[in-house]
Amino acid sequence: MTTLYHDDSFREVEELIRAAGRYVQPSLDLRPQTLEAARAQCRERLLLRGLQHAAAVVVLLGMFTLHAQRDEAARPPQTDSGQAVSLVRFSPGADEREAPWQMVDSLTDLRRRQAQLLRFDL
Amino acid sequence: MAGPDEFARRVRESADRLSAQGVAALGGLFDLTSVRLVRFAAALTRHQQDAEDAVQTALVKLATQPHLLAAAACPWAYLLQMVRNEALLTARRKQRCTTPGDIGDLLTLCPVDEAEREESYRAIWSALRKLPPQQTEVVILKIWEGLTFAQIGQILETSANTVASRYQYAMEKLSKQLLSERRGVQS
Repeated sequence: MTTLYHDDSFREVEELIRAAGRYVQPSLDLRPQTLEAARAQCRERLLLRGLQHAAAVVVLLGMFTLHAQRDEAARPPQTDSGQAVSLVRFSPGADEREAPWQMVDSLTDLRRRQAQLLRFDL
Repeated sequence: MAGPDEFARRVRESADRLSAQGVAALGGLFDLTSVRLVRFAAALTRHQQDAEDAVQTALVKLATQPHLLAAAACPWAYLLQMVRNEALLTARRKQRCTTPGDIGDLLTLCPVDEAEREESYRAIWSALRKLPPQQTEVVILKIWEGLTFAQIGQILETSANTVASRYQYAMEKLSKQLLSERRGVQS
């Protein structure tokens, strides 16, 4: 690289050019314009970021709600065991010792009723 | 004026401040670099207004993404590269019709004690504008920014040999033009 350029050969011209370095100046408007444009751009970016965050929250909430609704819709109707529990009738005021037998009776009763229902369905 | 290393160090500090404080620190970076950036961009766009647009665009970009400058190995070289890219884009977009060597668009400042040199300054800027932009930018970066050919090569994304060659051609033309004009005036 230095084979092409000899340091001394252009010294005079280099000095001339160096002296003219500060001859051209930026206009007085440039500073306020640049700072104002930068501030406006930063405000815009902040606003945009806020909107993006809000949009992301809305989308997440929407997805969550949709998911919850789908789960609700996909959940099977109350299970047989659940129905069974609600259908088992206990007679109030039973003695503690009779309670197990009462349970057996109630379940037998329940089975009978379920069998009847099935028969009607068929 | 500060030496190239000292100046690069000050730009690094300013870049760190911009990164820490955001847009509030842009004024400091502007005050430190605007004269150099505008004269560099003016040599590429061949029009001061376009040069100022390029500088403004680059600085606004930095204000919104200050980490770009702070993360650069040499923030000053990075800033020059940014302004160069913007200047080239602006020049391509605007495609102004200008007479080679015309400097009517430039906003100049000549201190009173240098008034007798103003003609020489005008001749220098006019001669710089007659060069191809690829040569002008090398001359500016070498003489006014005090960068080495290798550093200039990194900014222009070309080899140091190509940079040296462009400098050689440019200086030959400038020597012929400026020194002959000078001798003509003296005789």
